[in-house]
Amino acid sequence: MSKALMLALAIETVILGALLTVAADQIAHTHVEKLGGVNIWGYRGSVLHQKRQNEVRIAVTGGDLAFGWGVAASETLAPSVRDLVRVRLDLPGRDARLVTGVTTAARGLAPKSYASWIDHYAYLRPDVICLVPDPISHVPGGPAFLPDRRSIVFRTFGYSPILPLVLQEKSTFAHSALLGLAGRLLDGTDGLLGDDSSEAGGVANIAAYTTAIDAAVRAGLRSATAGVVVVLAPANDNRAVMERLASTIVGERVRVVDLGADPRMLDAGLRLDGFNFSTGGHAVAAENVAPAVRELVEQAGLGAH
Amino acid sequence: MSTGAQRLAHFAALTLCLAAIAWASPLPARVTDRDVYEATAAHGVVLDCSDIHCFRVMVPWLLSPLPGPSILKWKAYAVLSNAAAGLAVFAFALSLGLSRRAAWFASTGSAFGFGSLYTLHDVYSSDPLMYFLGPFLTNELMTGRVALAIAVGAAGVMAKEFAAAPFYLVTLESAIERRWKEAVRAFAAGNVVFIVWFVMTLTLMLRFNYTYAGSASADLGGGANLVGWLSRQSARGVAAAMFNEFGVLYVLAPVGLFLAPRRLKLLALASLPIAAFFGYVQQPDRALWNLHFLVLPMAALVLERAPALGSLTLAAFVVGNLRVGAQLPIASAGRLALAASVVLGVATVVAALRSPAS
Repeated sequence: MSKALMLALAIETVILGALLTVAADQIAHTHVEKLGGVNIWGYRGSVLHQKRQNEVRIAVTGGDLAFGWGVAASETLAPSVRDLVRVRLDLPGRDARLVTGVTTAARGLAPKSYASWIDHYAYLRPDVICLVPDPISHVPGGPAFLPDRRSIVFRTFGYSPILPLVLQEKSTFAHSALLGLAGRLLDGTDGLLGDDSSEAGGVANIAAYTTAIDAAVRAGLRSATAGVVVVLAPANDNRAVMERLASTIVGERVRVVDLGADPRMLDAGLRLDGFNFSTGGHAVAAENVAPAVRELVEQAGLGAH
Repeated sequence: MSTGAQRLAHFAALTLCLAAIAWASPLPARVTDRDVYEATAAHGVVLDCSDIHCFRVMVPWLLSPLPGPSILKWKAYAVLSNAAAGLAVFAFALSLGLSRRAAWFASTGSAFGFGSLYTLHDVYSSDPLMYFLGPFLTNELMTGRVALAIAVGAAGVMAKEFAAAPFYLVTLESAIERRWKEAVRAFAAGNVVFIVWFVMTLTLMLRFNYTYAGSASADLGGGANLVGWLSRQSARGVAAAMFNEFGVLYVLAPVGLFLAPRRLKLLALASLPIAAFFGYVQQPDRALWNLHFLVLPMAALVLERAPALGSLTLAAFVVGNLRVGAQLPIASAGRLALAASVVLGVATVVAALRSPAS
């Protein structure tokens, strides 16, 4: 057998291996994106279709709180707000309105990264962005794998690999060293070239915190056609934050919702682990957020005619 | 007359006959894949598409720049592809060592078989091109023209996945014969074509949000298209559809297998896993026609041993297919012809087995 033929086979094996890995990763995404994971582009739920003419798109972004760890993609703030907005927009006898909600938040995302994160997902063409900053006291925890910001593939193409994580988790449940090794190998190969140093650490003081939120609101106003709703977490020192953000939030296209103003939000029963909202927590939060979203939508002339 | 001129005349004759049938064939009175192919022709890519036919971009991309009404372009494409398939089966049969007469029988059966004539009725499909590429690519690989096969296969696989199948067919056939170098060469060539398909598919999925979510074919663990098709049909419907696909060829081809040269026998053997796979992921009554280029030479070996009866059998087969394939409004004549083709086929088999040549 000629050397050229063997070389061709070797090259084909490598290419096919890479293609099969991508295909397997896509399949893995379809298994986790509706649960606790993210889709191939790094946001929660299924990949969104191209935006339609009669569509109003609401994005919820931020860090851990907005991501909604512990609940399914369909139980987070974005779909809850979408449902409440839809019942007021899609009315009989008026032009049909398709309302979609999407969670573009990321686990462990520090406030200083919110602005660039909003820019990253500007291609989704949201009409309203709900920015849910984590409280100032919150230290972003856990590795930055939802979506995987360490990954060179994510940084280069925006594609968030999940196969390494899925394989490693499966290996734990199945007690399979081989699966674990494959997961670590994939993770290591991708992680070798990646870097997450820019996201390390939380926010030390209120000045840095409000500067980060101010930048995020401005980024949101660039992306969203109708405007931005800043959703301040309960138990935060929200008065001080709002004072510092006064110049940012006076604009016509900005609304502020202080979840701390709703006593229900202080109920520990609405938290899963003392921090992340339960399904009920997201639903109650949505009741607070939806009126502000609706207001921006109507103001922008996107409501039903 | 030179070989080139003969081929041209052969192609022209097939084209004229098929064009007349296409002209007479009524448009399907049911939902077909027309909308998907026309959308691909109009937009290049159909964003967020979940139909498997969206992945089959080559034919609509080639036809869209041509002038004229859509139906005319697609009918012309189906006619030319099926005529080319007839010619390719002729060349393939000769390469296998069959006589010119047998090659003529095989070629005519290919051009006027059920699958071919059905695509003159429902023209919005990549199938006619596959009916040509099956025998063409197999012949190119058998005769050592691998580079040309790769180039054509790489383009063809963008029309339909089946274009990769001939490469693995020849791989298997060569491996059974322990011709390892040929097997590895065909395998490596097939991988190139497969990689082209894979890259195109992933590109459409990642860049344009294509999915297989709306296609039963991709549900490999859930019975793919086969189970759905079987559940939608009555037992009689399944039997009728499967009979219509090959008709009298079911009688002729098994006998022809014993008369076939070794290479055709091995190709038939190697085609079994491929037939099983495509029969599973697609509707078997249409998918199996992709391998008609192996069935027809076997049948032709029987027909040529009793040429008069064989010609009558083939004529009845063609008339029957005008009804069940091209859907011409000749129900009584079609049924009669199908029945006659089976009776004549049995008679041909008996005559062929008694002939000294067998």
